[in-house]
Amino acid sequence: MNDDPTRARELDLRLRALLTPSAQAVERVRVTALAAPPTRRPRAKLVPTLGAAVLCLAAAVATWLAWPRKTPPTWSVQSSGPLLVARSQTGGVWIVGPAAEAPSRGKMLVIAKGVRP
Amino acid sequence: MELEATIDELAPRILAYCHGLTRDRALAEDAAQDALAALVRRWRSKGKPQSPAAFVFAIARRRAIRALAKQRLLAPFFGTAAETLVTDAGPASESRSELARVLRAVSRLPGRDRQALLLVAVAELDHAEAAGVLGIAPAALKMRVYRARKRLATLLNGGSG
Repeated sequence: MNDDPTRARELDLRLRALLTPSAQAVERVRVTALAAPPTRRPRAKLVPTLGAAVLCLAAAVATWLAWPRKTPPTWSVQSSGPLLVARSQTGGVWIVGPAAEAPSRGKMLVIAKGVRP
Repeated sequence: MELEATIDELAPRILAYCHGLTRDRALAEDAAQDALAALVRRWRSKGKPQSPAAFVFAIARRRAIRALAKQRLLAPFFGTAAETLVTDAGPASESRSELARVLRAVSRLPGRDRQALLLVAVAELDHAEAAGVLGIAPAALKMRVYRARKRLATLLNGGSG
């Protein structure tokens, strides 16, 4: 990398001389730059941003907790000898007991169901 | 005032650099103005940057490259202005044609070498500052400048490079 310093300097000076801007251009740029208004970039402040985030989260949790959800009906089951009587909240009654006949003798089956008035 | 003195010192250098980069006086003026305005804002809000020259040339380089890319993108619709005419006292016609010839040769250099050469030869940054602007090591910058000078000399002497 033997850069002949004299030739390099000549080339640099030639480029510099050719690209020298006019005094008017320099003055225009100088004056406009010095008159530049200060930046007014909106900056997010930490505390309001965090506060808003916490509020949003709290609102989301409250909505989720208060949202009406379908819950399974509560059942009451009573046994009476080999029979089970299941009652639902809606009034349904199921009687479950062992089958007496083949082919599922002994297995628990719904023997009767109905609606309690 | 130190800021004004810095602007006075940097304005002609940055204009020349942007002109060499864009080959367009109007684009060069816009880029230089943006960069200097950024320096003024920064100086007034946060104080003097560590190296005002490196700060301003890094911005000017980005602005000039972006403006060039935009111009190339719009060229099919609006045509290109290889060298914009400026009404104020520009160079005489003889030196204008010489300027056009040299700028054409400069534009034929590979982009990375061209930027390195302009930062060192025209913007008069030292190697460390110019390397900082381009985000490369000083040794790599020296190599690029060397290559660019060699190729430019060949191009200006009538060689195909």
